[in-house]
Amino acid sequence: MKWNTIFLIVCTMLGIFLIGCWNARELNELGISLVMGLDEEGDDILLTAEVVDPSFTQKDGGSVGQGGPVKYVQGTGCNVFEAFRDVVLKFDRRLFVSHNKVVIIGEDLAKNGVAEHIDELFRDREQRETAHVLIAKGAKAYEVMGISSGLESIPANYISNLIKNIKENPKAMDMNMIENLKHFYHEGHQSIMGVIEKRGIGQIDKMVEETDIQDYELSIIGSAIFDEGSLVGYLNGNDTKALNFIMDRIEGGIITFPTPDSALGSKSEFSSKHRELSSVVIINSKTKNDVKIKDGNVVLSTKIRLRGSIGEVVGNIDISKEENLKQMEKACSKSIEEGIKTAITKVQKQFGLDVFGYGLVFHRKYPKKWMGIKENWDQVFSKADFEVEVKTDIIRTGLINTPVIRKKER
Amino acid sequence: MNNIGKKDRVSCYQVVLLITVYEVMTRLTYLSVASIPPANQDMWIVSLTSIPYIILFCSPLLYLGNRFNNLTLLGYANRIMGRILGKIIGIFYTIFLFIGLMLLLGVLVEILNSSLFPETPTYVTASIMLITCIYISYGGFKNMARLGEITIPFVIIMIFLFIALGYKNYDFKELLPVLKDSTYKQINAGAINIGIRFSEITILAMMTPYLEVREDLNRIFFRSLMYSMGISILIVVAVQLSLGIEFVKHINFPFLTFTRLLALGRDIQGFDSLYIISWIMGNVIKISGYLYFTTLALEEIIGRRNQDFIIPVSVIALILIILIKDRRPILAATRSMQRFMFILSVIAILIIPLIMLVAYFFRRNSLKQGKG
Amino acid sequence: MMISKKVDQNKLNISDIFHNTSDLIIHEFETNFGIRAIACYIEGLIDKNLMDRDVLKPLISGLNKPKNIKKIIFVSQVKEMDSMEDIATQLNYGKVALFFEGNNMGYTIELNQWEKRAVEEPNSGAVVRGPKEGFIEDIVTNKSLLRRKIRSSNLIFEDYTLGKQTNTQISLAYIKGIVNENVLKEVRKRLGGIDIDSILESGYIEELIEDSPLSLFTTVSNIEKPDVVAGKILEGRVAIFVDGTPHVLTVPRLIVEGFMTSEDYYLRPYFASFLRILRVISLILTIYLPGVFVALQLYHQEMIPTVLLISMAGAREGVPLPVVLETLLMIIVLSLIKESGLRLPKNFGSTVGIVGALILGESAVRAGIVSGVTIIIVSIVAISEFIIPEMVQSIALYRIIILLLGSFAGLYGITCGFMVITAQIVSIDSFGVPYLWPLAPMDWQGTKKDVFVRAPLWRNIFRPRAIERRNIKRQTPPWGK
Repeated sequence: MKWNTIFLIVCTMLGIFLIGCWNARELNELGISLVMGLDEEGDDILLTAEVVDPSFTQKDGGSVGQGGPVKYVQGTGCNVFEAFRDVVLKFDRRLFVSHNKVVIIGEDLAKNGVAEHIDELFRDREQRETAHVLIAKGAKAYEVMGISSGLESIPANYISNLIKNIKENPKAMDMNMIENLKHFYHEGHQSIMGVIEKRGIGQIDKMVEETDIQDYELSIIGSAIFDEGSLVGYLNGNDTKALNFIMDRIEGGIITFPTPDSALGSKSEFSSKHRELSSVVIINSKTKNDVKIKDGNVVLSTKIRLRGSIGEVVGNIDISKEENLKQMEKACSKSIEEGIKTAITKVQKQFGLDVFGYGLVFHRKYPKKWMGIKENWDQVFSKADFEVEVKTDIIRTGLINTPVIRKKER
Repeated sequence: MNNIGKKDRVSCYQVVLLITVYEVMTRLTYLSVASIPPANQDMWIVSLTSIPYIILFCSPLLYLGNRFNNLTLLGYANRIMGRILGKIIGIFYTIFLFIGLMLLLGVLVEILNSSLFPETPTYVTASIMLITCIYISYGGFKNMARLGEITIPFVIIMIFLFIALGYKNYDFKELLPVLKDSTYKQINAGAINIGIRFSEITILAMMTPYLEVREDLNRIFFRSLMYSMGISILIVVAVQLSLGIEFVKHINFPFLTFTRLLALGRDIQGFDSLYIISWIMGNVIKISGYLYFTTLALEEIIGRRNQDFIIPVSVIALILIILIKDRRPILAATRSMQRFMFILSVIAILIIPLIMLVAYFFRRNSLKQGKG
Repeated sequence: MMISKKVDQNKLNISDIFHNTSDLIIHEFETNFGIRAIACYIEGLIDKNLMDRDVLKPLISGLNKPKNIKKIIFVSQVKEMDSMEDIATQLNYGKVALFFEGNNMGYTIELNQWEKRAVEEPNSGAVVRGPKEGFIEDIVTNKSLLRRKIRSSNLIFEDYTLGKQTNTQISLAYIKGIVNENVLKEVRKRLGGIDIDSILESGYIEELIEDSPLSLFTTVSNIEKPDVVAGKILEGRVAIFVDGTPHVLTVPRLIVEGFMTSEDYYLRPYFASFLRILRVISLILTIYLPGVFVALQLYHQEMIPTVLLISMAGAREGVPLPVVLETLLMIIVLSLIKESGLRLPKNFGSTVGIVGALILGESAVRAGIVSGVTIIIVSIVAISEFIIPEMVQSIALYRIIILLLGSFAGLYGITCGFMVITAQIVSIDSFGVPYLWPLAPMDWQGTKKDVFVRAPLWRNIFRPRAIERRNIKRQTPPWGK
């Protein structure tokens, strides 16, 4: 009983006298960083951070002062950590990076090898492994930061919402730090990262005279290919989509394909003035990768099973008929197959790097052979044959069945 | 030790919970299985294979515990080996438990200081924990068991919650190819290495006389072994699936990193706080348990109430921790530490109990007469 | 002191015992048969009309021999006594004492009647469904209220008188065959050990018989409603009635009783279970929320969702006090508002509300003295506290300790504090029953029936077995197992 009281008193005393001695940081001592950019400047690392000025939430009416609710701070140093500490002497608040949503890496740094610089991003307790990584295509990281052409007042939210939208249109790559590192460690799988690019906005209001000041928007279409940690090239949007298909990272999006000619329908009165393309919305898709050895040659094979719903039909086809629907399915599959074939061929020819992860499949299937082959897997990959097989099931047709322009047969 | 009153006894359920959480806490903190060969995607098989080895290695102590179920480990060491040898064995086990206590405390301080409080001095972190544990140990074993009953289910539910939440991050292909990159020999060597570290058997041997039904010892052992290994394997698999084997080997505290990746939906993150809470809870229970049994061992050797030793022992532990921790990391530089603990465990779990077992068989008749 | 045969001597003695107090009335009279007599009573404690009609009138008109007193007066309780001190004590309880010339016996007649409150709805434990009556300050009425709930010859009252000056009547109530004899013995022992000058409220008894007097948690529950007391003693507990207070104590107390209200058993089980869980959540919130809030703000900012963090940081811009002091200040202000609202006359109560809500809340935030988030947190704490009124006393201090620990060592400190306080709670035994039963030691049957959920009545077959192990069957359910 006596011990109880003494203990309570000691605890209370400790609490009272030692309040805020170590490590305690009031919120108004922190500069909350949401985006971090890494660049190379000469031999040094240039770090740019987008820091939120929290007082904007308190202003009435949400009117944001000049420069928006964020500030940009920069620091240079021989390595990332030194660049971080360089900021301290220029910026009055302690940089707090736990809420980093995006890490943007400048093209120069990426080309010269980014792998040795990400150590800090995993060692520091404040860094989040779940931050997304993007490569600033053809630009410095700080050049793409600060562009916010969306409705979000904070640019970081703009970028992270763009990344969120990838599941609507998988032409971009959503990679976070930890996935990136996993790919880096995987033998037989080169890393890939997302891309961010600055673009001018097309003039909307034709009446306004052209000025020198151009508005920019950001685009994350495409992906970047790495060889052992340094950037070697980019893939365009369609190839990235194929890449996402092979890596089984498709959560949604659409497939567009030429509408098959209707087998039964009479010649349409609407002549095909332009290409007739239809679209299917992906509901879900499942990819199975396999590697076979045929006559000593490695054959990569990918099987995709896709469920979709018709999104748009342009052309003269009565999809309320079973056989026509089958044709649509076939056409859709074919379109995906072609996309994937193009992508694989391009990667094989242009880069010769296995960014799809077939090496992992090989390792799992032929662990013994892998031991001998793993050093020069990329060469094997670039020479390998491949086969793609897609099976599409259209399970919905939207609110209408036959295309609008076509009169329903009786 | 015969005179432990009915009111101070603990139930089978409580002990199973305690032993389970003691073992699981180790896995929650660091994965030793990732740092011993084969250290590839077959880690979980190594953990699985270690179960029969654990049973094998623990059987001498378990057998002796059943024979002398009204005595602690030190009590029957004294009985079997005679006064002087028994004392020496007793001192060895006291030191063994004390080193266990130190190691736990050191790892705790290391994780807390590197993940939460980088600027807080070691002595503050360590003394907060020690004050808590001193208080709990003063309450005696019965109250510790009851405390465990309240908090351990929370810890275990949390672990399952984390494992369920991590589902989105799992890449089941990380487990493939099964048993291809490692040889049978490697896996068994790893399993033996894991199996010999089941030091909770010494704690179980110390708490035998406190059991409500002392004949339940075997059941308690097997149950807690199954539960703890089940949870451990789940942890190993979950960590491996979401982080990838190579990164697991790089991380000091894999499960902490695992929980840092968890997210519910897109915006609800920060499950590491829940992990830290449940991890600290588990550690409080474990450290106070080790503290209590270290002092209990001292009680058997010196013969005063164990309450007299709680504060001195923890002050010594605190001083040692400050001395060690302010010089070098314990976990990051594992090699020498691991070897040391391995040798110590071999002696404590295998060699001494085997010697005692042999001695027991030789002296069985005379011991029985002594009893009568 | 023996009673004299002479009335004058008795008169002197009795006024001596009472030191000539002014409210002791001594009425002298003579019967028609010429017997001199005196009647003594204390003013205000007896019913004078009854005394005149049923005692004095028949006595004066018909008493020929003092021995015949019981044949003549029409009062239910007449006792013959031979000790002056006993009679004096009885006078304090509102009896009338009669002495007759030539008789060395005194008679006490029960005519007590004094001003008392009517039985009305108590302030605490108000219910929507269920009996509204509450105990009052009079122990006899209280006992009768309980007897009206349990009309059984097994309901036993045991009277004690405690307090050297106050001579307060204490009464144990229990049900023979259901009560745990060990608990009963222990209660009797502890009551017997009390030696104190005054007992003004059952709180005195509570503090003197508690198991763990230094703990933040009480091991004795106090109750204002007869149906609740009936429920408790029907589970095998012992109730302690104290004269002069509407608060009846029951022991042993389990911590889960803090989450229970009588209404739980009158409502549908689903809704009752929902309320139970709500109370558990509110207990956790009210204790830990300020501490966790401060800990997260000071140490673990990475665990707050980004949007929330930014708006919290925005709210903190320009706030002068550190967040701990700010929260502590608001908790103290909250307690001030609560206490003053409680003590003030009812008419002023709304003023306090306005002052508290408008001036302190709204203006403090506008002036930038406290941040809006802190106000929200403290308000949540306040409203959660009101759901579990039985635990308020335990909570208040606990919350501040957790707050300080949180500010000192973040979640680490809070967790350690939680462990210590839990370790303290599990070590309590209330009259031999583990305080945390059925959670620790675990009793799954008890836990699933009546802790976090209130199982339907027909599933609740047994009484809590921690209190009494024998004879625990409550019912044979009409259906089911």
